[in-house]
Amino acid sequence: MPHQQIIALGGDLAAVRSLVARVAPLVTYCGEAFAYHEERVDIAKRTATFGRESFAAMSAAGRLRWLNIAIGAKPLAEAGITAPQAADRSFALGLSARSTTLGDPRQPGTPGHRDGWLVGSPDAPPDLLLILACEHAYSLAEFVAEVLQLVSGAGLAVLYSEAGTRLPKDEEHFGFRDGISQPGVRGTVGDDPASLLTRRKLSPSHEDDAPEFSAPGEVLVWPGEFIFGYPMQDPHHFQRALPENLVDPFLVDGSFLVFRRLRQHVGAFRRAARSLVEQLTAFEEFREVDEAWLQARLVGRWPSGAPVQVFENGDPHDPPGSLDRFNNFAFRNAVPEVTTLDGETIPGTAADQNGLLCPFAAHIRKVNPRDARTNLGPATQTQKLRLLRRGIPYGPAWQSSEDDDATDRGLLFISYQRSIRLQFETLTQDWMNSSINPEGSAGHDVLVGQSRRESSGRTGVFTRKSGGPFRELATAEEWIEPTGGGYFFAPSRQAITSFLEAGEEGERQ
Amino acid sequence: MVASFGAPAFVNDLGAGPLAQWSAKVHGWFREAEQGLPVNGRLYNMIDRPADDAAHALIPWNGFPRKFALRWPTDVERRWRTAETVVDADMDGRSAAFFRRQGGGFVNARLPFRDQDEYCEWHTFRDPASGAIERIVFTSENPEYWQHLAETDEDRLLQLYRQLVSSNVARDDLFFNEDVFRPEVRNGQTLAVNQNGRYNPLNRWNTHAGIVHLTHPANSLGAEVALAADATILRRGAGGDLVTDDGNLICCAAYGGVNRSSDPTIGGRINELVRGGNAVTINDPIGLYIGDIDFQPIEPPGGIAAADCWRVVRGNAADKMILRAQFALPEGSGFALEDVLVGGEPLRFGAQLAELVTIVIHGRAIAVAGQAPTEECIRKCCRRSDIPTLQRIAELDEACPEPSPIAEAPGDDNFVLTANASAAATALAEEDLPNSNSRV
Repeated sequence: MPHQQIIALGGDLAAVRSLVARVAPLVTYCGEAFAYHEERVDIAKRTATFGRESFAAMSAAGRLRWLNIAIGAKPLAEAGITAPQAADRSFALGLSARSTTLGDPRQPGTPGHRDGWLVGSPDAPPDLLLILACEHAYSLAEFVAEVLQLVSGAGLAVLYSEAGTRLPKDEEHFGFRDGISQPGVRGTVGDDPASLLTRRKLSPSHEDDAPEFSAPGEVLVWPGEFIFGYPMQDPHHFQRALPENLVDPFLVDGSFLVFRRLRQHVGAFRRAARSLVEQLTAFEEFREVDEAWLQARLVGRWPSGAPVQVFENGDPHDPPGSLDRFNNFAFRNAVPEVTTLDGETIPGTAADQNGLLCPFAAHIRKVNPRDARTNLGPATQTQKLRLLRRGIPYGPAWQSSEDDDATDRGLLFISYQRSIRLQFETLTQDWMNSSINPEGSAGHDVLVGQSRRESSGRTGVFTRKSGGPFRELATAEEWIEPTGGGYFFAPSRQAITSFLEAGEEGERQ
Repeated sequence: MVASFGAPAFVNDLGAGPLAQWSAKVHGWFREAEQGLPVNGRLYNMIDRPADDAAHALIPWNGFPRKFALRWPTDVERRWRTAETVVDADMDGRSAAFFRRQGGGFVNARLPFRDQDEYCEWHTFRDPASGAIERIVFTSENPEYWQHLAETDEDRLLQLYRQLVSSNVARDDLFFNEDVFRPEVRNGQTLAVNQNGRYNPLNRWNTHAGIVHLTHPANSLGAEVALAADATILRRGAGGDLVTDDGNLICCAAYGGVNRSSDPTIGGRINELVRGGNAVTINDPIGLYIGDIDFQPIEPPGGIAAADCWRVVRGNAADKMILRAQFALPEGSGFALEDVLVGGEPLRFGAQLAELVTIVIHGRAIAVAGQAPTEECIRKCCRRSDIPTLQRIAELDEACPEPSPIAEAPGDDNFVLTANASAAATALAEEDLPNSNSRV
């Protein structure tokens, strides 16, 4: 949805339960969202309108209002529900307690320290998170006003409320197209075997011991990695499902939700990029590179989303075909040419085992090493660290005339996963913030990561040749500032009912 | 090219003679491993083959045992506690390869060790009376080096034990004073060699009461060299294509533990380098090393920096060659280690820090011409029927029954490492013989 409002609420159990009862009829469930998505994709394909713009074509369908709800650890515990806390220790501890694990500042008073967060600081953890979504800003404003009346009626305090808007071309504020690579979730919606949750653009794989793709570069992953109650990805096999654990009924069809409000200091990013280019061009083999080249290597993609591994010499801007042209690559192995079921031929891509084209420290390689082995085990294990990212930018787009960062803008990062600890936190703490992991000595994720050693800042390693020389750049400049968030559990319809009933029992006692 | 191999991390324990002997020993392992490979084998060593232009390949993996993380993905508390319990048989039922005579044969001596099999071991030193944590010590020191030290300089051995663990260490504590046998291969024959009077690597100061070097039967430097050698052989799957995925490779070649982070990663990287037209070796000084610890999740009290609690005792951090490091609060801080928050909760187990440790080996690769040795798969993997998140190596013609869903925690609350494993221990201990499968 191109327009969303994130609302964090606080109050006692009775008030939380009261609001949940009021908004429960408004919650959007999978079937409805899936039907809308299918229709939008069909129209988008017919009209060749993709990304944010594709929603406008749907506006005739009606005044759409979507709402999602997610509950914090405290009200669940007060209602006597313990399954989510037992399933994820980090959820039980909460984001503010885990903040430094994610690389956030440790010194109170430092920008980004949890004590100063706009939402989710240690003394005001949100109990409930609402996500409202509409096709248009004006309809969202109406929807928000109505929901806030319900909030007021329930006696809950609004701790935070902010709008997010998708930017043109689905860029984030640094100017790079976001969200190109997502996992392809296996499974069907309902019992109809033809009703696949993820459309297939490619024929089924006949190779048993390699990843299977729903679209070029889009690996099929078992749904239990994101939602409880379904088969999970086998850590030892690309395609095989792992039998589901016998999970508590409260968890079934639910998912953990991570919310991080990340302020982006675009001016600082661009200034640092200039400084890093100066460092790099001092080396003979990098003498000709410029700022755009460097920024693209920090991301792993050009602003259009074109991967540097495929488009080494410059940004093609528009994909020469569909967006699939921007996703048919892997790092360790060459990827063959494929022809989609629509008849589009997508060229293959050579491997980049030594990080000569896409550096090991590039953001897209750090957070999704694709077919690479990592410090956590073989590439089959790597498939278990995927997230369903559903973030949205907030604040006005950056203007090139701006030289400072007075304007608050950034990303309302939202991800869904089965385990906050094993997925979101591991790839943040163990990969992005490490100078070694996941693929060997390469530096930090300079774009989004944090340095473990506060004095030396973040480092990125660049090389033109296998075996070096390796050129290490460093920056202590911070351009991502965490300003809030929380860990939540997004319950199923059944679990919402259970929560309300458990609350009633609690009250009666 | 080097003239001789250095001691791990170039530590200065050995005199010139013993150091030369150590070098010869390491050199011998390499030569033996190289000779065990087919013609045109792709393992080399830095003494015999000059290659100044070799590329460095740092191979990292996590220090906390992956098998526990796979077994109990959500029960964090259980895997922390289990991982730092000293055992006499590991989760897979393996005991250390030491035996006592019984009747006309041998039974396993069930000596203690840590079930920490990622070349990273730690010990949480606690106050005997209160149970409060005094310090947590990590090591990646290989047992062969300490065995060598014991054989060449007993005084230095005792001095180091006293320095590293306790002033109460007595010389007799470090040596067997009973008939305990260890299988040793001599001239192609496996002999039961009486260790009475020899160094006991699983002595109490290196197990229950402290830590000096690695103890898990699979954590040996010889095993690392053997694994590296085995991984240089390219493998063809049933369809004739080269096996390239790390997980499939280790199942196909059976060169290590399939449920570890370390073995599939090391073997996979080495095999990848060979597929890329290289010969490979391990950089001098040969060793396993603690590469890094992530301080970020660690919040000591009173404004103390986490880095000030971490002291590299042996080796060096700058070159990612740490052999031994200790986590403790600075002297006189006035706080207890339980006041330190790790990931937002009080420090109660060394395992909490082990999850933040990265272990590395330093590989080297040189481009070579010709075709690398290529062989068929010799094994495959099956899911373990008792724990579906784990695999086991199986014979090619063996059936792999599919397990049914099981609960992660309920039902196996009474799981006890030693009791569960006892029946299998003696038989499986035979696999600890120093052959190329010793990491399995």
